[in-house]
Amino acid sequence: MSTLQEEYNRIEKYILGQLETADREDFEARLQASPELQTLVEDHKVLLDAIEEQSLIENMEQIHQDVFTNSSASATTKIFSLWSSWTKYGIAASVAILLLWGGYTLSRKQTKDQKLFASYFTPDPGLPTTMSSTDNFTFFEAMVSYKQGAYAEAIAQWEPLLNEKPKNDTLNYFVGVAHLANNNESEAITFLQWATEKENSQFLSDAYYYLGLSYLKKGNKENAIHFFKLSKHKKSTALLSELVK
Amino acid sequence: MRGAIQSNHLYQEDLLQAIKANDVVVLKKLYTENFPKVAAFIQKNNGNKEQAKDIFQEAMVVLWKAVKTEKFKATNATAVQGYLYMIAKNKWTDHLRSASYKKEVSSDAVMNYAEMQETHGIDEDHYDQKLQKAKLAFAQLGTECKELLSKFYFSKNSFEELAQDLGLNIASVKNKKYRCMQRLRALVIPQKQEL
Repeated sequence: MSTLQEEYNRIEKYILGQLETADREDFEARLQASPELQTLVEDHKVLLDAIEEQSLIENMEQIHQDVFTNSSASATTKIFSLWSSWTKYGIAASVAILLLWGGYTLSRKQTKDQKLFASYFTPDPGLPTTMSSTDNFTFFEAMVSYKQGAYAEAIAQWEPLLNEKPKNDTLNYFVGVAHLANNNESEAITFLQWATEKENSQFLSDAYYYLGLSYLKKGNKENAIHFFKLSKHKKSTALLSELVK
Repeated sequence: MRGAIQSNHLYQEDLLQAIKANDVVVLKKLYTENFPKVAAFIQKNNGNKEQAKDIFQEAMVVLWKAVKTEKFKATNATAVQGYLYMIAKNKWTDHLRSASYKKEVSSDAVMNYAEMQETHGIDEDHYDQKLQKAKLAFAQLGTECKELLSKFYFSKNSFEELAQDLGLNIASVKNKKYRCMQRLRALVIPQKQEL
């Protein structure tokens, strides 16, 4: 765990009142002395409040749709697993049948999309690993693992670097592709999204391409198409024509 | 505790505790039981269903915040319902008043980013601005992170539960949560520079 991560851990525990007395006093003393730390605490508190409040709002939207909107049966699908406990309140048999049917077509679609994924996906070949400077040592060591196909290992090596530079496009890109190569498309999406944040990134187009592939593997054709369209990767066009035919 | 809450003999204290804990079953009950009354009032007073929904949800947020900060301490079993109705009614009255001289402004439900940048104010406003911005950013965070953070901070799932849910070990879940927070932070708070 990086020191920054540890610091945020402490900040959060302080806000939530979970620090032991000694640690709390220690923290409060530092807080007194450091306006920077005060800002970090305030900002973190805003994030926690926002997550809770927005979750509440979305929760209510869901309730409203479930209970007070007549067309809710057709509009479902985006049921958050969060609300799964409600299912025990009983779903009409007709809806259950609808869902079953939906699930069936969904799984068929998934296999087709996944076949397409398998025929197109090859991991990025990686960067040349001639080590020029020592500060990049860890990065290139991980790159060696990556090139050898030891994706989990590469991810583990890159992770601490990423914690220090959460927005670095190169890191996010390769960690994302490594996750995808490691059959973890959900994780891949998180990182690849980051890799597309910088508009002038040399990885932008490829990141879009792999984002598209991640969604394809997930069976989310709509998003896949969206990202293939953004990408200038040479295989994107071919994939697009397969997807929209 | 949940057993007691679900029974009809819902004690006010339990209800407040459940609201504080974001108990989705109780929140749903509260919503479904109180919305029709508010909607009836608003629809009788020149409002439509959509407006009723917005006003009611705003009232729910006000109640929820008041309970969390312990500003609302109920004294009897119907106090929560009464409080909700009163807030919604006031909000709707305010809306009607403002609408009488302004042209239909859709309340303050969605504040857009440009507006937020323009408005300057004292500390409280500053916090509210940041909160609005952070809510917007969270709403657009991407399902993976959103779901994880929501489960952790709103549903109060433990790391153990999340690990089981996601089929990851606890250390990975902690890392994932950290990265999601970093992502959200970067979206909301101007970063001076990367380390």
